[in-house]
Amino acid sequence: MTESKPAQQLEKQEIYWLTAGVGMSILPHALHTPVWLILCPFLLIAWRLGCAVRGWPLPASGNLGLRAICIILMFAGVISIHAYYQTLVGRDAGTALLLLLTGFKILETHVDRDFYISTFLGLFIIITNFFYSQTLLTAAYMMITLLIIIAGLISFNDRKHTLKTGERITMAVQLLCQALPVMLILFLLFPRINGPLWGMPDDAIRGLTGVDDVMTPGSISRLIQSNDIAFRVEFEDADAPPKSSLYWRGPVLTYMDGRAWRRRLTNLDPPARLQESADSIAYTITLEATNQRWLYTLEMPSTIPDRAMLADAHQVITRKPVKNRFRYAALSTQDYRLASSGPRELQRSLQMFRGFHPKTRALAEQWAREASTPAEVIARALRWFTEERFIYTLSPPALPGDPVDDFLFDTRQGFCEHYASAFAVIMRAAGIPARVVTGYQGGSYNPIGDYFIVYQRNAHAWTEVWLAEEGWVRIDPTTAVSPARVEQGIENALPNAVFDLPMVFSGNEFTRSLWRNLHNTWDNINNQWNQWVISYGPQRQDSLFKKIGLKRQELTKLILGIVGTVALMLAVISFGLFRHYRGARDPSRQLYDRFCRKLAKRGIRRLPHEGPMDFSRRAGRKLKRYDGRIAEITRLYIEARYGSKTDKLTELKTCVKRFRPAAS
Amino acid sequence: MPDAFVLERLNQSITPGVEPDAGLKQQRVYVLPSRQGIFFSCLLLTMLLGAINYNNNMAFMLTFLLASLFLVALIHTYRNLRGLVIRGVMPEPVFAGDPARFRLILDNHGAQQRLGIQIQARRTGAEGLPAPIVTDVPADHWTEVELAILPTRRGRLILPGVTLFTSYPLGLFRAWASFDPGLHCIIYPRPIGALPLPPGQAGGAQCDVGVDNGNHDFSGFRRYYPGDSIRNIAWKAVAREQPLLIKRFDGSGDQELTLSWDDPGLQALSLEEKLSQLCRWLLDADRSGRRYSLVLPAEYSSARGHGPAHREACLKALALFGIAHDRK
Repeated sequence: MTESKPAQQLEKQEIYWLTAGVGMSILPHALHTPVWLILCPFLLIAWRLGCAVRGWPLPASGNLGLRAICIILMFAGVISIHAYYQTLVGRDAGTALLLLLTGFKILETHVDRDFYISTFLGLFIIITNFFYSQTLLTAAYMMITLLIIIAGLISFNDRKHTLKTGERITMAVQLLCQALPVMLILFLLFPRINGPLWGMPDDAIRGLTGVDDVMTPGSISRLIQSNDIAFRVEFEDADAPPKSSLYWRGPVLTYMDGRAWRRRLTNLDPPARLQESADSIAYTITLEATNQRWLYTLEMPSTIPDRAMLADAHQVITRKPVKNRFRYAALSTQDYRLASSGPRELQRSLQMFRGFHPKTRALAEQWAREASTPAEVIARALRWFTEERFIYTLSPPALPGDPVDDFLFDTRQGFCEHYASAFAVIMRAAGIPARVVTGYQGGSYNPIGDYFIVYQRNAHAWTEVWLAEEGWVRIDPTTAVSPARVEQGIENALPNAVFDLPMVFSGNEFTRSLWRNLHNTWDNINNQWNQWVISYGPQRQDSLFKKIGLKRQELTKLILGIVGTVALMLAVISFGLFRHYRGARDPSRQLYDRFCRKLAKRGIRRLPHEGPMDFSRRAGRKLKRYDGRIAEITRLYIEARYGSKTDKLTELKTCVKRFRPAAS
Repeated sequence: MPDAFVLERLNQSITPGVEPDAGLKQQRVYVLPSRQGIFFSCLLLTMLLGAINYNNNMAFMLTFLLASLFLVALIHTYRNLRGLVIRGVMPEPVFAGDPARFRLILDNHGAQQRLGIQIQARRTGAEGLPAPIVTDVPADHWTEVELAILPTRRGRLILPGVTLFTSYPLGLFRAWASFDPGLHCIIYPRPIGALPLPPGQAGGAQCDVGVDNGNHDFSGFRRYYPGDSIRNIAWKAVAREQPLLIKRFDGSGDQELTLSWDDPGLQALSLEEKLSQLCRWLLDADRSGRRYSLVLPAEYSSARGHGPAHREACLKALALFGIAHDRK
């Protein structure tokens, strides 16, 4: 058929819907985009709205001057974006470009084609939001945005503008609800693959906080300000280990350059042997994206997760950086003996740069001479931390000189990384192999979901020293200075730092516990969301396939399954819709139609212009035998439909039911 | 005037056992993605690639939700047209130059209102396609739409068929149904021509009714009809912004007219001009209230008569002169 449609001009309310929907989709980008960039599309949208409401001039209406200005503005915008991001591709710059161009598209929207393109751009902006945030809140907000955009499409296609605003929203909700089942099927069954198709741009995972594999003074205290979640832990057994023994092992740092501790980058040694006791602790960790390769486990991991391996200092690492939320199960034991992976490891654990920390070395060498066993040196060093009034603080003075000497003999104020670093240096100077272990310590129990939340602020650093009889032994020098840090958690050790507790709730114990409850409930909801929605991936899909008897490899069967289920769902929806269409008529009319169908089967069809009375007379003439009954049914129908006698309905029903005209 | 009668197109092809009100039968409604719909599916594909690459579950979800919405929109668009009953009303004849008005009744038996239904006549030869008419059909109600087509010449203007289409609710699909209501409109020749009425016959003085030659008494006004001589228009009334009125004059009695193709006055004219002139005379004669007959070569020759039915019959003969045979 020929399709010749004249361009449909937009009306005011269509512009309202469009700008509302697209504006809502752009808004969350304000959280991570520079102000000038987010203002651009909003100003352009405001211009378009001003045109709709106040009749401001539009660049598209043959106004050449304005058009030229617009094109110049657009190029200026693109150049600014390039100047700011140094590129035009990738997640950040690409989104910025999309926002800018959408603004200009909305500005020039005046016929149906522009309307659809702008709307689709709005849908695309929604998806870019998900590359920044996938929380439940974002999802809910985007659902509302989608609703507005769809309502906009509905009002555009409701050409006569018959629907009221509420009816448009209702219709949009109805459409979305009907779309949900099929979406669910596709979401669950669409074959997922591991890894990116063409490589994920680096900026997609930028800005992640977390423990790094380089420890300098201040690198961990920086994390303490963060309320971000590092990971969540579910223990299989009802009683979890006490908080003070929750050491989550992360990167082990053995190389000290005089200021920073680093991890060894090459990994040639075989992993160390672990002698474990029988009782192991089983748990599952849901790790937030880190873009790093190591996985955190409770010290000491005895059974490591699938698809992971052990590096030399008993660190668990994966083959690829963790770019998405990752869930893994592991077993750990708290009663262990960690052997060395070889003499070279011990040698490396004594490494020090010549010429650094002269005071510390002198002190440590003195202690080593005076002590008979390494254990004595350790005890003396810890005692020294306690007795010499070291202060545990989040804001220590800067250490521009030799960081270890200045800290130990001068400032004496530090955070866990200062103590761990200084302690390890003392041990090495005293001839005891030592290394720094970073990771997290503690966690907050969420009673509502029965799991622990480990925040970035739980980041911690401690040491391991080598004792010939016991292997590698964990020594946490911070406990010597601030026992509360480990026993009660970071929140109590630093009372002045207020962690995500709004002022209104900090009044008394009741409001504080109320806040904790709310906070735990909300985190539990988010955790469920993360567990079931966000971390659904190839692994989970495989186990689902196994349950329903499908296999990823049998692609034909899989596609048939998906198509079949989707078709079934659509059939159910259509059935619902079309049944509605048939069934909502007047009940007496339905009965009368049934009566007419019965007559039609005998070849007497009611003509469209024929009223019930005329039809009754004609049918009566043709079917002489049923003359009386036809007249009776017609009379009852007229009374039930047009008269006030609703009680005739049942009578009509029985009459129609019994009416069985035989072929004449 | 021919009876305006209601046509039920589907009655012609109905099979026993099917309800006469079946309306547009299911297989007659076609649905295809619109241009926007195709663009939308390309967008979905891009979204899917993005979701796979970033392994972003919310992106997957949105993509699948939109894909699912696409399918649901198909059902809704189809439903918007399915089961709609169309009836055509045979239009009244018009003179060439006036638009023929085809009235169609859209009857909605469903409980669901149908929004954004568009109707367009199919292309008819050289004529331009009129813009589609947009209408809504409320639940359990009917709406009437009028398709006006400007005829270019006299004869029988057959409504070539209409296409109903809709893209409601999302514009991603376009459902359409073609429908031939079997309607046609008789187009009378345009009543133009400057020749005076031929002389009357049989008892009675000659009289040029319709021309105020000063010999007749003014007897009042009546409404203007297309084809009236402009010489009789009451221009003073027009100046007073009253509707067009025609001055009437009493003739001098009962004269009978024969309006003949072979009238000597018509010899110089072409076929269409002749018909137009005859039409002009016919209307003038009818207005004067005299009895008249129309004589056309070979095909038609009416008895003498007067009144609306006689006039319509004669006009129809003029309209269809030399064209396809009247089937009726």
